[in-house]
Amino acid sequence: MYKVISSLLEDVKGMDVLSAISVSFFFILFIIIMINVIRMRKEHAEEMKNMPLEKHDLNDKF
Amino acid sequence: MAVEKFTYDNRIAKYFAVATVLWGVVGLLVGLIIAIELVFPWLNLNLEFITFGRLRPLHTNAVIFAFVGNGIFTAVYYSVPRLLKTPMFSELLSKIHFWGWQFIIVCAAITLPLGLTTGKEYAELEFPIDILITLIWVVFGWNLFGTLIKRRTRHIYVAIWFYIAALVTVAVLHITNSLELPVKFFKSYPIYAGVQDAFVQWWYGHNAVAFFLTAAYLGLMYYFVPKAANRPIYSYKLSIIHFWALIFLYIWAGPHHLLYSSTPDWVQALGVVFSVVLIAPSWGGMINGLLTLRGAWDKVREDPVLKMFVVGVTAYGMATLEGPLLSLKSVNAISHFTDWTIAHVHIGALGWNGMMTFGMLYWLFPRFFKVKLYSKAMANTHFWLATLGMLFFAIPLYFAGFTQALMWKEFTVEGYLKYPNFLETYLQIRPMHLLRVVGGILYLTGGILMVINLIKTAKSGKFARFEEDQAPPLEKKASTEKFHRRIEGKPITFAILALVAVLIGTIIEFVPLFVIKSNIKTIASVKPYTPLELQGRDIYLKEGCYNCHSQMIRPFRSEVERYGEYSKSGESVYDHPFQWGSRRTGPDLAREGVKSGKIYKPDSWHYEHLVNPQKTNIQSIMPAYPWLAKKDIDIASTPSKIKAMRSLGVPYPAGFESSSVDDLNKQAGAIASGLRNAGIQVEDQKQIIALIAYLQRLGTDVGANPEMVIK
Repeated sequence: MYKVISSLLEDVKGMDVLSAISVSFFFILFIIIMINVIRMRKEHAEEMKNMPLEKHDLNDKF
Repeated sequence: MAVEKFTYDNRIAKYFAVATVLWGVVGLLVGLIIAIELVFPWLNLNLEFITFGRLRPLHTNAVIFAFVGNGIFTAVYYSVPRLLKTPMFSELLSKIHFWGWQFIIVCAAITLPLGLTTGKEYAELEFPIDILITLIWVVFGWNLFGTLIKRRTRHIYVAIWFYIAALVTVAVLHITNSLELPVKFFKSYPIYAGVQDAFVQWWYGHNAVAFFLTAAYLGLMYYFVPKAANRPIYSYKLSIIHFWALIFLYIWAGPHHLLYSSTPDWVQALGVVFSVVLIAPSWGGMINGLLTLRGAWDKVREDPVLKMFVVGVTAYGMATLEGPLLSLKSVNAISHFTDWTIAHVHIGALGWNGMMTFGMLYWLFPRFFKVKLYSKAMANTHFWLATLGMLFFAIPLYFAGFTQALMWKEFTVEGYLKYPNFLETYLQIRPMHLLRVVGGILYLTGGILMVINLIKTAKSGKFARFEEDQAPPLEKKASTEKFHRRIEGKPITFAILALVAVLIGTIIEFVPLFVIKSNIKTIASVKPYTPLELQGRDIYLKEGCYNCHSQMIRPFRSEVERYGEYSKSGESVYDHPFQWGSRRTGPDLAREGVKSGKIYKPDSWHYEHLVNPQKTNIQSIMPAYPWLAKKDIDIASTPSKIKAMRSLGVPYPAGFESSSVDDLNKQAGAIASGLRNAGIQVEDQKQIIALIAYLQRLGTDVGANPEMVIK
């Protein structure tokens, strides 16, 4: 298996376009996450934001 | 629904907090000592154990893994139970984790001054300690995931996402970079060589910063900043984008440490592109942290904890803007190998990690001991000492960096280097190094004030080990939620997706570099080291010479003019590990041995220079290494070293190990005899002979006419 992959890869040309392909890949992922975040319900976001805070924090005397 | 009562155990969090304070002071102190040694090299008192090359790895390891590491675990053991509404999974695992980690730190503190090192920056610990780190990391992961599984909250808060990402990525980084072949107890060679080793090392080095010093501390920020400000984080939605973008992008950026080196251009291009894109998620985190304080800025004036967090998060923003700028090739051409990089990393370490840790400790101790902080004034003084210390440290180093870069590159109108003597360029920055010492003293003084303040706080209260809380049990029901909301409730899926995000960049960069042969051009004239040179190379590693000297001549006129022909990828194919270095406190050594070269020196000069550098130049800042002329080479290890190298692909002939000692003795005899003829009394088997043999070999495979030998 390794030999097959390695022989295939040895002929790969145009490694210089790798960065362009990789950045494009990132932006696709980024857009998917963005859409999901924009569509997220406000109450979910509020619930998650408040997770570290507890009722007794309001009376925290330290 | 019925509510369950349970208790949080603060003991382990307190242990880790105390360890953070202790190792923080040690790490800062060692840092201060080596900063002073750079200005006054005689301060090593001719003792090998406290020489700069051996103490600098101790400083970096102490600060990163002891101070910041314990800081991370303090944050995890305090915040995770409270965010998940359950005690930690196992008290036993918590104890093993704590004591195991401290044992690792003690092992590092003993072995590094002894010169037991792999010679790879930020990964110097030898294989038995690497194995221990792996085991303890597994214990930590087991405990964290056990707690996640028995949680009482459905969704996992953003701080824990960062802890999970740090946990899985650090495991991948540590294991991959620590693959080494043992030669004997506490001596091994990495399985990678040359370009590949450099790539793996900086993939690791950069991402140790990304995931150990950054991601885990972002988790700390997302918990402790809202707690201290008593306000929710600014934007949960921003945290989702910031988290996934950050972990996906960070892993690609490692090669920006190797710009203009002999790594392939495509790897360098990837490093640059992803470093620049990284500004966005990094600043997403900074904005989220700072804007959490909206409506609470009046508190920042009063509260030292918030002051420290504000400076910490701002330093994070500055460092993560500067990092991508340094990775632009035109900037890197100037900044690389200079003190600019040192200033940059210390803005991150002293500002981001230091201030966030101090803020957390000042917030935690009063709550551990149920008493107000002993002295707010003292904490405020600490804040100003730390802030001024950081500035006094970094600003002179920025000036030093610019000065070095400009002097290294300056030519006369006749076309010659204006400062051909490297030492001239160091002497210009010596006052700046002195100022840096002042910064270090200020920062350490602040740290000592904190120790006093925290001890007094602890003494004025009583440790509250257990804290009660209550929450309804987690309902077991099929989730109807979608995408991110769904994976926030599935820690294992979350961890796998985080792992996939970091593996994408890793695989795309690793596979071509390791598989495509054309990436590393073979040079016919490059031959394996002789047994004596190999032993000399191991002494070079042991003494930590790479902490001051590079072995990578970049293809710039100023470097070729100063040092000789630029370095080729095929030259280091037998270098396990590579020794390109990251800084030039001393000159580059890649062509040190080329007789017709720019910087060639005879054996006798090397002998005098190693034993007493100031004898060859009164202003030299290199420390003396007199023990090299007294200690014997570990000749008995030669056959096993040759065998190990052959196992790693170095083409020593079969059976060469049996004649390797004779070969070593013969070469050592020739060098020693030459020295004796020059009036230096030295025995053949001394370490200095091996080191001279190695130094005189450097660069000679290619020499002055590289086009003649490249296949």
